[in-house]
Amino acid sequence: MADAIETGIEEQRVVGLRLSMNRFKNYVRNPQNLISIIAIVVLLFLIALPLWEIFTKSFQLQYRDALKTRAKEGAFSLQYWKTVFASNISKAMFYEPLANSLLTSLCVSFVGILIGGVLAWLVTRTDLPMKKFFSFILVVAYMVPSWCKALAWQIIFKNERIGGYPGMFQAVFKVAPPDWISYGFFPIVLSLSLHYFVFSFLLISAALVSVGGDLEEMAEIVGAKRTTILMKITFPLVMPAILSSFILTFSKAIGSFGVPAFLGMKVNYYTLSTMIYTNIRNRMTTQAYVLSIVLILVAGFTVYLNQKAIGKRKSFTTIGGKSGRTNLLKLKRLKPAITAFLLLFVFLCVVLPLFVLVWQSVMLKPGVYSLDNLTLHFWIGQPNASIADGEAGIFHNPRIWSSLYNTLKLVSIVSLIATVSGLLLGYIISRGRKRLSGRFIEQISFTPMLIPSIALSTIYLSMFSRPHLLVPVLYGTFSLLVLISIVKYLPFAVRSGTSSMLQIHSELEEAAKIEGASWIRIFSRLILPLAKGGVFSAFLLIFISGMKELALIMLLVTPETSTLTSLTYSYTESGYAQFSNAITTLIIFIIMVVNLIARKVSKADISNGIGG
Amino acid sequence: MSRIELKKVNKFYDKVHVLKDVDLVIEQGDFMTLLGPSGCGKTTTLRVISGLENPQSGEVIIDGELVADPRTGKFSPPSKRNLNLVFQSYALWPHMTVFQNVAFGLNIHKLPKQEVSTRVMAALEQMQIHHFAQRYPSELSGGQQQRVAIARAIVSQPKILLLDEPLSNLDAKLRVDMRAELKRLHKELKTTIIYVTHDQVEALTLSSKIAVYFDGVLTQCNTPYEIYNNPATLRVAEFIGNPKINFIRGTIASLDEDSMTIQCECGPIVIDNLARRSNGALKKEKSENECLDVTIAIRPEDIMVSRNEAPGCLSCRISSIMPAGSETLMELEIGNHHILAKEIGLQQYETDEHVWVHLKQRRMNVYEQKESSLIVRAL
Repeated sequence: MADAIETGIEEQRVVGLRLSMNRFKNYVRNPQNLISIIAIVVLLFLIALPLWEIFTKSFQLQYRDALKTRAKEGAFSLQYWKTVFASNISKAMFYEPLANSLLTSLCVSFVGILIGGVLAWLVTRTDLPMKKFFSFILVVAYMVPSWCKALAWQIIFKNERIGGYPGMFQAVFKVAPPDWISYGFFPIVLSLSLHYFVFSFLLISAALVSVGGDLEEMAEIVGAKRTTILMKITFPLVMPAILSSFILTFSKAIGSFGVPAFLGMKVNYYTLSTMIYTNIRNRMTTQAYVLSIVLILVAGFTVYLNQKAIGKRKSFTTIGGKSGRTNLLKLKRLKPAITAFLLLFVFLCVVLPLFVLVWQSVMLKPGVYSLDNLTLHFWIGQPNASIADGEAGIFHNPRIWSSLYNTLKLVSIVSLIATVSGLLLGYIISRGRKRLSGRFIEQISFTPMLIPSIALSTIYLSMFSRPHLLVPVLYGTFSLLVLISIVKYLPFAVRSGTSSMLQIHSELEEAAKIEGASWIRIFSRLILPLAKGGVFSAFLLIFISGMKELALIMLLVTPETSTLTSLTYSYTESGYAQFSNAITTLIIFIIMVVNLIARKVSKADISNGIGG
Repeated sequence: MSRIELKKVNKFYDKVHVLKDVDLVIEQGDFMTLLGPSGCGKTTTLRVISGLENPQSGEVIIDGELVADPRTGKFSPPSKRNLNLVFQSYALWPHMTVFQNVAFGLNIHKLPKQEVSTRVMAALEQMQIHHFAQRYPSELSGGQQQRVAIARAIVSQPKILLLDEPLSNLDAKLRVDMRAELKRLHKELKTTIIYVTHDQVEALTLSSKIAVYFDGVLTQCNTPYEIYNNPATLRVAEFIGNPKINFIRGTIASLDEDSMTIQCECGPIVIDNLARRSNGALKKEKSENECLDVTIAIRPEDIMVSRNEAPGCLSCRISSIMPAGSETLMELEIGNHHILAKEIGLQQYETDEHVWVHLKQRRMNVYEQKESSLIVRAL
C-alpha cells in the first residue's frame, strides 16, 4: 500500500519533471521566444538602462564638486537640480532657453502647418499645374538637412556683429541687416519652418486624398457653397492630420540642434538643446543631464499627446477609404499668380539655399561677390599655406576623405542593422500583439522617439564612458556611433518592419509550417521576399536620415571617427565657411543620388519616412 | 490506419474558453464536417488537430500515437502528423508560381527533382489546373487559386486532409461545382478529410459524418441523416435545415403505454409509436413533473397543405406565400401562431386563403423544454 503511494508520488514527480523539461524545450525551440528574450535584454540595456542612469546620475555628486564640498563622490545631492531650477544662473541656463525652445517650436509648428496646409490643399484640391513637380520638389526640401538652410541664411544675412566677412545682403545693398534678421528667433523659426512644413504637407495631403470627394459632393448636393464645404466638411475632416502634424513638428523642432546652433549660439540665443551642448562643452555635465531630462519630458509629452489624439480619431481620417474622383476647384484668373508664387517659394526654400552654398564654396575670399574671386581651390586645390592655413581642397584633403569614408561606413552599417532588427522586432510585435513580450518590445523600441538626439547623445556619452556589464568603454570608438544611430532609427525601422509584417498573413507562414519548413527557411524563403519592398525603402530612408545627422553624433565623435556632418560643424565653428559649404554640397549630392536610385529601383518614397 | 481521437480537449485563448471538453473520434476514411456558427470553436478544433495550436488539457491521438499531451508538454509539430491543411484564405505564397507553391513541401523533404516534378504535375492534373503551372497566384481566379491550394495540400499524399472553410470565398455557382469536386477527390484519394464550414447545406451534401458545435461544446456528432432527422437539441434543430424548422410549444396532457397527447396552442397533438420512438427519459421526466413542458419540432416539408378538410387537420390562414420555382414556401397562421410549410413545385394558393394542414406526427421530434433534450424521436 505504502509502496504503491510512493511509486505514485515518484511517477508524479517524473511526469512533473518531464513537463517542465518539455516546456523549456518547446519554449526555446520557438525562435520567436528566443528573439524576444534577446531583444528585450538588448533593448533594456540600450534604452532603459541609459535613461535610468542619467536620471540617477543627476542626483549624484560629481567628483569635481565632491572635492569642493569634501563630500563623497556619488553622494546623493539635489545640487544640480537646484542649479538648473533655482539659482542665480538658472535664468540664463534654464528658463530663457526653455522659453526660447517652446516659443520657437510653437511658431515653427504654426508657420509649418500654414505653409504645408495651403500647399496640400492646392495640390490635392485645385487644378494647379505641375503638381507632380511641386510634390517632388517640396519633398526634396526635406531631404536637404535643416542646418543647410541655416548656413545659407547666414551666408546671405550675416552682419558684422559676430565678426568676419559680411553677408551677401550687406555686400549688395551696403547696409547691414538688423540683428533680429541675422540671428536668433526670427531666422531660426524661418529655417525650421521651411524644413518641417513638409510634415504638414504630406500628412494633410494624405488626409485630403483619403477624405474623398464623395463627402464633399454630398454637401454640394444639399446646396452648400464651396467655402462652406471647405470650412464645415473638409477642414474638420483633416483636423486630426493637422493636429498630428502640429505635434510632430513641435516635438521635432524642440529637439533640433543644428539650426539654433548656427543661428543662435554666437549671439547667446540659446535653446534647450544648444544649452545642453554648451554645458557639456563647459564640463557641466550633470547640469546637462538635468536639462536633457526636461527636454525628454517635454518632447515625450507632446508625442504622448499625439498618440492620444491620433489613437482616438484615427478612424476619422481613414473613413473615406475609397477616394472618389473629386471635382478640382478651378483657380481661374488666379492660376498664373498662384503658380508663380509657388515657383518663387520653391526657388527661395530649395534652389536659392543650394545655389548659395555652392557659390560660397567656390569663393576664394568669403563675402567678396565678384567673378575674379571664384576658385575651385576648396574643392580640388593642393595645400596652400596662404589659403585657409594650408588646408587642402576637399578632394585632396585626407581628413575629408576619411570623414566621407566614416560617414558612408556608418550609415551603411547602421541602415543595415537597423533595418534587419526592425524586421525581426516587427515580426515579434506583429505576431505577438496579444502577448506581453510583444507589447513590451513595441513600447520600448518606440521610446527613442521621445528622446531628442542631443539628449540621447548626452546619455550615451555618460553611459559609455565607463565599462558596463560586459561592454567595455566605448567613448571615442566608431562602435558607439553605430550603436547610438541604430537606437535612434530603431523606432522608424520597427514601425516599418511591423507594418510590412502585418501585411503578411500568418496563414502563409502556417502553410509552410505544415509542410515542415524550419523557421529560418520560412523567414528567408517567405517573409524576406514578401517584405523586400518595405525592407528596401526602410534601408534607404535610414540611409538618407543618417547622412543628415548632426546633433546625434556631435558630442561623440573624435577626430578619428569624424563624419561629414561633424566636420562641417567644426569648419563652421573655426570660420572656414567655404569648406563647410563644399562638404554640405557633397552631403546633399550623395543624398540626392541615393534618393534617385531609390526612386528608380523601387517605389521607395521619402514621404513614408516622415518623423523617422 | 488514420484514426483521430480527441479526448477531453480544452483550449483557452488568454481567458476565453474556446473548446470545452471536446471528445471526438474520426475514423479512417471519414469525411467529417465540423459545423457551427462562427466563433463556436470548429476552426480551433481543426488547428488543434493540425498542431498549429496546442490545447491546455486533454489528449489528441492520431494513428494511436499521442501527438498532443499537455500533461507532459509533448506536442508533435504539424509536419510530423502526416496531414495537410487548406486554409480559408488559401495562403498561396504570392511570390512563387503555382508549380513552386505546390513543390515547396516536397523540396523541403529533399525529394529528387524528377520525382518532385512528376508528383506536382500529377497533383495539378488531378485538380485540372496543370496548364497554369507557371502562373503566379495573382494571375488566377478565385476558383483556380482554390484548386492550387488543394493541389498543394494533396501533393504530399497526407493521410489526413484538413479543409478550413475552403469554399467560403467562392461565388455561389463555383461553390456547387467545387462541392462535387471535393466529393470526387475524397473518393479518389481515400484519405480522411476534416472539413470546417458554417454552411449546413455544404455539410449535409458532403460529409459522411457531421460534428455540430455551439460555444465550444461539441453538441452532436453523427451522420447527416441522423443530424437532420433527429437533432439532439433544439439548438441543433434550429441550426440545421433551410427553411427553418417549426417549433410548437405545449405540455403533455396524457401519457399511455404507446401514445401521448400534447396540448399545444393550436390544439391537441397525438404522438404514437412511443415504444420505438422514446427512451427512458420520457417516462422518467413525466413521473417527476406532473405537467411536462415540451417543444415539438417539425420540418416545413412535413406539413401538408390542402384545400380539403380531412380528419386531424388544422384550419389556418396563409399569411404570405413565397414561390421559388422548385418549391413553394408558405407562412401559415394558426390562431396567433405562425408556422412555415414547404410544398414541392409551384403551388396555386392565394395570400389570406383558408387552408387545412396536416402535421405528420411521425416526423415530429419532441424535446423537453428545460434541458432542450430529445425525448421522442422522429421516424
